[in-house]
Amino acid sequence: MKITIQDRPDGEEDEIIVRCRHLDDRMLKMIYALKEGQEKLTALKDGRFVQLAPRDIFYFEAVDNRVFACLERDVYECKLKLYELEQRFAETDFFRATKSTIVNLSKVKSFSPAFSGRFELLMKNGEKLIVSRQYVPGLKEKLGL
Amino acid sequence: MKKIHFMMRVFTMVLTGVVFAVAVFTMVINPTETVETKLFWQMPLVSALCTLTSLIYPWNREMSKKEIIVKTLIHYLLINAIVLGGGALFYWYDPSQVRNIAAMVLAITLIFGVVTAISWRKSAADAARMNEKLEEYQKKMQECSQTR
Repeated sequence: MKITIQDRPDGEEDEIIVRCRHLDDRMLKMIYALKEGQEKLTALKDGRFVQLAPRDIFYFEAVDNRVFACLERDVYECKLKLYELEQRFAETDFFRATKSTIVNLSKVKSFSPAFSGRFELLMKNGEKLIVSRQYVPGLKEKLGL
Repeated sequence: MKKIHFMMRVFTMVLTGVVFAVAVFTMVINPTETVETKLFWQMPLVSALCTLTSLIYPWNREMSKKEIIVKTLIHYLLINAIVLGGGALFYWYDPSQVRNIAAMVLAITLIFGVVTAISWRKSAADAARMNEKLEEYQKKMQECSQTR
């Protein structure tokens, strides 16, 4: 694949043009990765709205009809529903781990077996989460297994 | 479909365990020269009923550690009830003899332990492969973000 980087005059917005015969998986992944890197997520903490970069989010968790974005140490409340987040980040590093959690695969340190076909995730911040057995096939597929 | 696949895998393991247990019973504990052909449908029937007991574990929701322990105990007791009940009904053993009941419970415990151990080993192997792929995945993603 040929990659061309052109200088742009000051004041002009950066632009990426993809010229290809058809969009294959690799191209789509690249586009989604770029999109994910640019899109910010609005969340709430202590009555203040903040913009979160998806790559900083470790996981989303739904508790009592409220959805939280958990970062390395901080927790923010999201106004989007879990299924909306799942759709929005469908082609990115995020995957559904349980009915109430969506996890960022790039923040997972390791997997270990848990009872009854489930897996335990050790996150890079030391937290432990679970992947329900119904979501294990989806995770394996994402990992290319 | 995933659930059926999971149940079929459990059924295969349970049936294999039952076949081994019957072989040990008919050759070592209670030696017999011939076995009845009825065994060929009795063994899969009991194995299928035992497999169905794995449905007590919820598929769609998480379990606490306490719930896992309680459900495992209930699972084990249900399997004992099915095998001992089925075994008595099909004359696999003499329920009036404590020695026979003890041998059956020992066989059930062994099969339960072996099936659990096999499932655990499979999960451990899966986790190892997933960790390898995770490393590759994160490496690739890191390269992508560096080129951006």
